[in-house]
Amino acid sequence: MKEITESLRREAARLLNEGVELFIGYAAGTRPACARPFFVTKPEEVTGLVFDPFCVPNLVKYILRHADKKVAVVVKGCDRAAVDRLVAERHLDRARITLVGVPCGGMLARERVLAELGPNPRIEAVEDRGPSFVLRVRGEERTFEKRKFLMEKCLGCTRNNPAGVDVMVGKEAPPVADPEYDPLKEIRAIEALPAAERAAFWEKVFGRCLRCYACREVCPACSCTECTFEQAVPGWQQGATWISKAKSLPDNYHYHLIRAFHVAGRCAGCAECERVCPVGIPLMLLNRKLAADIASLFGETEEDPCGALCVYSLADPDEFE
Amino acid sequence: MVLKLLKKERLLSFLERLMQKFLLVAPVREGNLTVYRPVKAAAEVAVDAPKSVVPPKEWFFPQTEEIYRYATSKENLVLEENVLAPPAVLFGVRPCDLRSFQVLDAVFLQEPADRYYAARRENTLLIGMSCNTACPECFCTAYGISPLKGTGADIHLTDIGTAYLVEALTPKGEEIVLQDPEFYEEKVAGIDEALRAKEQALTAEFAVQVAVTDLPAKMAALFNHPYWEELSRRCLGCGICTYVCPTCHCFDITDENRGNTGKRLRCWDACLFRDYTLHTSGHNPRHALHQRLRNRFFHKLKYNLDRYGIEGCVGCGRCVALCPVNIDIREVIATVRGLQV
Ligand code: SF4
Ligand code: SF4
Ligand code: SF4
Ligand code: SF4
Ligand code: SF4
Repeated sequence: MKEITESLRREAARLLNEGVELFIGYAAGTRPACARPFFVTKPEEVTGLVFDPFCVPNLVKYILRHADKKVAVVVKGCDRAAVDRLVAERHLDRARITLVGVPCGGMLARERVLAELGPNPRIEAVEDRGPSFVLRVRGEERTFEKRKFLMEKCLGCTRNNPAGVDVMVGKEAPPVADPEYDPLKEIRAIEALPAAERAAFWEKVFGRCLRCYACREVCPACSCTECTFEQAVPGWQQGATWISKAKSLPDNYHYHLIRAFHVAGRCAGCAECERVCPVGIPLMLLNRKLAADIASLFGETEEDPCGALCVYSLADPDEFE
Repeated sequence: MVLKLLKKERLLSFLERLMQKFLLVAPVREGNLTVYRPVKAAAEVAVDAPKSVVPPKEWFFPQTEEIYRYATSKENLVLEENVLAPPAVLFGVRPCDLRSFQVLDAVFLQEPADRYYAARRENTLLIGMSCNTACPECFCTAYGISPLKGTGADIHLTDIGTAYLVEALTPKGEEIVLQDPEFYEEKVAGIDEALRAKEQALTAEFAVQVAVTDLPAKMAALFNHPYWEELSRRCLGCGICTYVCPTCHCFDITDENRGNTGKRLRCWDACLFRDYTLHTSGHNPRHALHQRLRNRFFHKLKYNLDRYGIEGCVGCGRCVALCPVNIDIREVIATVRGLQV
């Protein structure tokens, strides 16, 4: 991954010299097999930038915080989709942002890699060898077959070379998708359960939700300036509260169903919500199910940046009063 | 202090004996997670489970707690308060989490003491468990905590291979241990050396050694430093770091009203949330994310020490392990100590 990291740094320095005020990419984290979002404003800081199969965070949402700046942002294929939605919803001005696409060989599932290497390995180098990643740990080469070690979202990925970017860094990556991967397998298994067991499954997972709202905060589709679940005004002034602060099963259900419907048709499939959840709630089951339903009801919407449920027309015959 | 050995195969009967008198709250496995909750059978207890995501403080300070119910009519207002504090044993508490109870005590037991917290604390026997493994994110020794010491527990267990070393550290704990002498064996020689070696091996698993000297003074001088804004650039403003922190204790009071009846609830709050210090006027003294993030670190590393004489962080490493964007308190400490005032 040395080459791609180097060309990324070169491009970042060039963009910053040419008037980009903020370059958002990745830097190595303090924990092994972990990268963090990294914000560069000066060309001399680009040496901190990296790209490797641990650069999981989707950086697109950060652009929303810098509406007044010329911003360049590193995007993988799955992150890329979120940009179109935000532009279509007029949260972002496409002309102001420079998308720096990286050809992606897939992201490694951190826990599975650490289960092999031990909890605190020193990863000295990473190389993408097509069907596998090779990690150098204490001078020794360890091979991680992608089919076994990629994050689930990558196994079904058909867009690992992001399209429609302003700058592409490095050479095109070979496909990462595993032809045998079936994104709906687990969903079908749950759907096949008797209603009571299905309810028990969701009660168990939703029941442990802490409502820390990290899944919302990280989500590029959760872009409302005022969220339904947030108090815009202090308690006693509220006309209606949509959700109680209490951690209770009904309130947790309420949160999860509304969240899922609010991102339906707008979800980029970046799986960030599921990654950040501290208590392992399988949010992608809902997101994938909704995406599949929307595709079967409204046709493939990938081409339509507005998504099936967000299109509006001024000539709409219905009245909205 | 009473010191005994408990053979590992007797742990189950030890727990069952406790369950005759107490509600047993202990770590259990739920999928890949460890959670503390009341168990129905001693066999459910996951003795060697990794550290829980949600700390055991939940037993004393639940995420949602009903303070009272009310019912109003034309003439009358009826309040009904129900302080839930069954006689309980909180089992398998790690040394960092044991220290966290001292931090929480300073807050909730200062006069006037919080009745709900105080009642459960009073009625709960604490059984600590030394760590058998450390996470790379742990750094408890920075605060003088040893992963093998049960300070704050009534009884503390340490795995020494085929048996647990049982230390009864309070009169309450001694009573429990002395009531069933047949469970235990006498302590044998050589254990102290073995424990020292184990402690060294465990702290060697820490990825970073953290020093906290002079931190509060340093922080005071850096309140307005641009570092906080820089750090907050990647922060999501979620509640993970506070909700998983064993010492965080902020809460919010809300009423849930249904016509003429309702209940008043106390629920965890997080200083990272946008509405955390939102005033009724609409003004928010911490409207910017960097102010809220800075508050978290100041609270952990300075305010708590100033106010109660005990650090607000116990080095459990949960926030380090779970922050989605790698905001790492160990790095924050090192950076702050290195910044020029
Ligand atoms: S889903 Fe595709 S683009 Fe996204 S990280 Fe995986 S392989 Fe890369
Ligand atoms: S991140 Fe997980 S625990 Fe937090 S609100 Fe979302 S689902 Fe709940
Ligand atoms: S719902 Fe989850 S997968 Fe979809 S865009 Fe939001 S964070 Fe990404
Ligand atoms: S520091 Fe990390 S866990 Fe805490 S609010 Fe920020 S992003 Fe969330
Ligand atoms: S601040 Fe972090 S490391 Fe310190 S006690 Fe809280 S969760 Fe643990």
